Order: sequence, then C-alpha cells, then structure tokens
Amino acid sequence: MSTMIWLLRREYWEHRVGLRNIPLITAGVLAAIATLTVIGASIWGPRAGAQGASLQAALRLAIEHSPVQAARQLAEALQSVVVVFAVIQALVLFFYLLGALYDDRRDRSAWFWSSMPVSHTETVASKALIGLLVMPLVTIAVTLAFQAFLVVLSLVTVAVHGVSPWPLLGALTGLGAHALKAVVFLPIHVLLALPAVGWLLLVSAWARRRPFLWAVLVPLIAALCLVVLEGSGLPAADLAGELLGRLGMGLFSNPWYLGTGALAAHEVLTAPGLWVGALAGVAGLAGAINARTRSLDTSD
Amino acid sequence: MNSAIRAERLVKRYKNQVALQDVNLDVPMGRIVGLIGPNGAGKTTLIKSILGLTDVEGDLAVLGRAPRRDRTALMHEVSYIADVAVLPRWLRAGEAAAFMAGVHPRFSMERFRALLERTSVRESMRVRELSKGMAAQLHLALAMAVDARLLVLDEPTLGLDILYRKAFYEALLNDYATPDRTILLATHQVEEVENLLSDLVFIKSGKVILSSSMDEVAERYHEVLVGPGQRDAARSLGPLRERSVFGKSVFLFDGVPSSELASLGEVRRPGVADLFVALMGDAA
Repeated sequence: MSTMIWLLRREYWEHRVGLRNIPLITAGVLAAIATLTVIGASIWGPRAGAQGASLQAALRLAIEHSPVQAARQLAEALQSVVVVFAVIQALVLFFYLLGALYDDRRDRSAWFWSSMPVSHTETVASKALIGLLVMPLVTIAVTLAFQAFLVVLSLVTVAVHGVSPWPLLGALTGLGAHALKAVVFLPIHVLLALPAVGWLLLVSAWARRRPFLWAVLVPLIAALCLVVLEGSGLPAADLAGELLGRLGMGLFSNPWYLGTGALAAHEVLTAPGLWVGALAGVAGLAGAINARTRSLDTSD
Repeated sequence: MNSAIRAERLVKRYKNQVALQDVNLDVPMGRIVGLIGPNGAGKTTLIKSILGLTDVEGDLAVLGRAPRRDRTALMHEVSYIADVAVLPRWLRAGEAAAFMAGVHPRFSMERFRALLERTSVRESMRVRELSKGMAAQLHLALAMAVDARLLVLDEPTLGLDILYRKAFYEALLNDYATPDRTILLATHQVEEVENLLSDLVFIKSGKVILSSSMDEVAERYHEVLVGPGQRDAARSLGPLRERSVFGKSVFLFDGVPSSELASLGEVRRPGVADLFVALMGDAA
C-alpha cells in the first residue's frame, strides 16, 4: 500500500504541470475575468443601461421579485463553468496517459525505475489510478473551489448594491448536494473512464514510436471501417459512434457531472456499452502490463 | 546457499540473433566479479536475465531466487545501475532518495546523505541540471545507500572522464565491498577495474570463455619476456599469443608451470587486458 502511495507521489512530481498547475491557472484566469466583469459592470453598468434602469434596480428586480428564479439562474451559470474544467481534464489526461509508459522508455529512465522493488503491475496500476481517480478528484476540487468563489463574488456584488443577497444562498446548498453526489457516483465514473484509460495506457506501453498516431488513428480507422459496413445488417454506424463516444467519454467523465443529473444514473448503468467498455478497459490494462514486461526484454 | 549467482545452460535468443549460448556461471557470495567482453557480447543480456528483466532458457538462481518469477522480491536485495544516463531528467536528487526510502526497505537516507555530501550534488537539484559525472555520482550514492546483497553495475562509467572513473571505483571498493556483498561489474574498459576484481568472467559472442578467480588466473597464465635466442624454444611450448615489446618477444602461456618458463626469461603475471586480447582473438 505504501509503495502505491509513493508511486502516485512519483507521478505527481513528474506531472505537476498537468495535475496541478494547468487546472489552477485556468481557475485563476477565469476568476480574474469574472471579477473584472463584475467590477466593470458596477462602474459602467448604470450608465450603459438602455432603459435607464441602473444595475442596482435590475438586481433588485431580479432578486426581490423572483428569488427562486434568480437562484436558479446563478446555479445554471455555475454549472456552465463545469464544461471548461472537463475539457482541461480531458486534455491533461490524454497526454498524461499517452506518455505514462512511453516517455520513460524513450529517455531510458525505465531502466532506473525497473531497478526498484516494484512490479510492472504496480507501475501500471499507479498510472491507471491517476487517470481513473486522481485527476477527476483534482477536477472536482478545482471546479468546486471556483464555483464557491463565483457564489461569494455574486453575494458580495449584490450586497454592495444594497440588495439582500440571501435568496441566492439556495444556489450554494445545491453545490454542497452535488459534491456529496459526486462521491456516490465515483464507482460509475470508474466504469465510464476505464475504456479510455485502458486504451491509452496500452498504446503507451506498446508503441515503439508515435503513440499519439496509434492512439488516435486506430479507433478512427476502426470506426470508418464500421461505417463502410453500414447497410450490411449490422448497426454499424451505431457501433462506430459507441466506440468513439465511449473512448471520449472516458476522458471527460467525472463523478461530478454524473451528480448533476445531466446523465441519469440508471440509464448509464443499464447501457450494455458501459460494461463492454469497462471490460475492454480492464483488458487494455492487462495488455499494458504485458507490453511493459516485454518492452524491457529487447536486444538493445 | 553460498552461490550469489548460479546459471546453468542459459540460452537467450532474440528474433535475429543468439545473445547467450549455453552460459554456465557460479559466483560465490562476497566476490567482486568483472564481466568483461566487447560490445554486443551478451553482457547486458546476461545482466538482464540476472535481474529478471528478460526470459531465458536454462536454470538461473540469483540469491536463491528465480529472477524472472520473483523479480520484485529479488529487487529488495539487489542494487542496480544500468548506465550513467538513465536517471529521469525531471527528477530531483532529494525526490529520488525519498522515493527509494519509500519503496526500498534496505535504503538508508542517512547513508545517502553522507554519500551525497562528498559530491557537489545538492538534494534540490534536478538531474537535468547535473553534469554527466555528477549524475553518475548521484546514481552511485542512491545505489550504495541500499544495503544490498548483490550490486550489479552495467558500464557504470561509460562516457565519464578519468577522474570520475577513478573516484567511482575507489568509492565502490572502499565503502561498499564487504564479505557478504557480491558485486557484478560489466565493462569493456578492462585496465581500470583490474585491481578491483576478485573474479574474472570473459564473455564473447554469447559464450563464457573464461570464468575463474584472479588467483587461479595468476596460477594458470604466465607471461614471459624472451630474448631473441630463445624464441623457438618458447614457441615449442605452445604459447597462447606472442607479441613484441621493444625488441623483446612477450609470450603468454596457458597452464605451463612457471618453473618450466623461468629458463626462457623473466616470468610475470599477465595483465587482464593482454589476457583478454589473447583469449578474445579477432573479436576484441
């Protein structure tokens, strides 16, 4: 167990930029933009109001006359930022997983790591854990922190304009409920993420060069072949969509989004594609362990 | 179990070449073994089999274990330096040590710090900031901080200048060699390690062509400086090799007693390099 913790720490040391800096910098830039927008609106908003209504009046109208709707609008605004962090996660994970078992073979440092009392299975497992759990948890933490910041910013803005902010607090309790749901949905997320993690680690462990091309072209060509078969009685186009969809979803998936209700849990769980994909992902991980073992058994 | 490494009839084939052919080897505990051969002779393949990184045919026991099957358990007792350029460039010296302290039960942080203090490497430095020589010092400090029963070094000084190489081997001999540790050192730079070794293994085209202790080598092989008049007499005794140095002929004999040779000229112990050249033939 402690070996696994050290292996995860090792991954963090190597990938601080993707696992920490990129999500934090994104949140920081967005927070700065949001703050500047609010300040700008406070300064120029009253004069720019077309109907002559000040921002203050608009806020009062919105919050005091329909508090429920105002809270819902804030909650929706909060949800829309989730997409940004999902894209960041997908990009970071794609490049992390592709390099995870390839880069250290290319720079020969795999020989250093193989001199440790660590099995190939443990090595592959540590990298899979980063993809399945660590990065999604980082995404949740950063998303949650950024949303909390937006709520505070809204409350302060409203209060500064002399309008009671309390009706908006409903949006906050919604955030808390989502965070709880995310924990409950963690196992489903792992099933969803397995196809992408398994496939990319397999390519990373197996490819002698250009893992990027293998990882992208093989599924694309497979999907194209399926599309050509359309009309032969097979639901080929559906299968092609399923193949690419499952791989993509694995990178974007996060227990947080499952909790938002955008994906209904029972529909996700009863789709056969989920289970086939998860099994394929586990097979990919087994293949990655095998390829890792063989990759150190070469004549050079 | 007093063999550190026992190999019987090891065979390793790659797709288009045979890397090991019928290798037999018995290394007792506590020896310092030089595994010497030209590039491509099979040194690295033999080392990879000993570390369980490659599949081989034949029987192989390292510290009493089957390396391929028990690799993780075996690596608890083994320290290994592949060559100078395998430390990941992003890694900090302190992180490398912390990681090893975490996963390696025989790694000692105090020992590592004491070893590192003698070098100009600091724990906050990344490998990419180090010169080749400093990276080698760091790697050696990491490897020697492990209380290993077997230390395996594969060309550990390749590409380093002579000062580093000398310091490297001195540190190895003075600080690490003990009677209950076995050191296996693969190199093709024979002269530098000659005085370090207790045993010699010559390997050529995947075959072990000599495996004996330095004492046995001294008893078995003799070099004689022969004057011009006695060359024919020397040749009649069947020398392994003949070469000329400053007008004198130097003959290398295998298994001819020194008492018989004394009448021919000055008898001396051959250098490992000369022995290597004689036994390797054209491959050297």
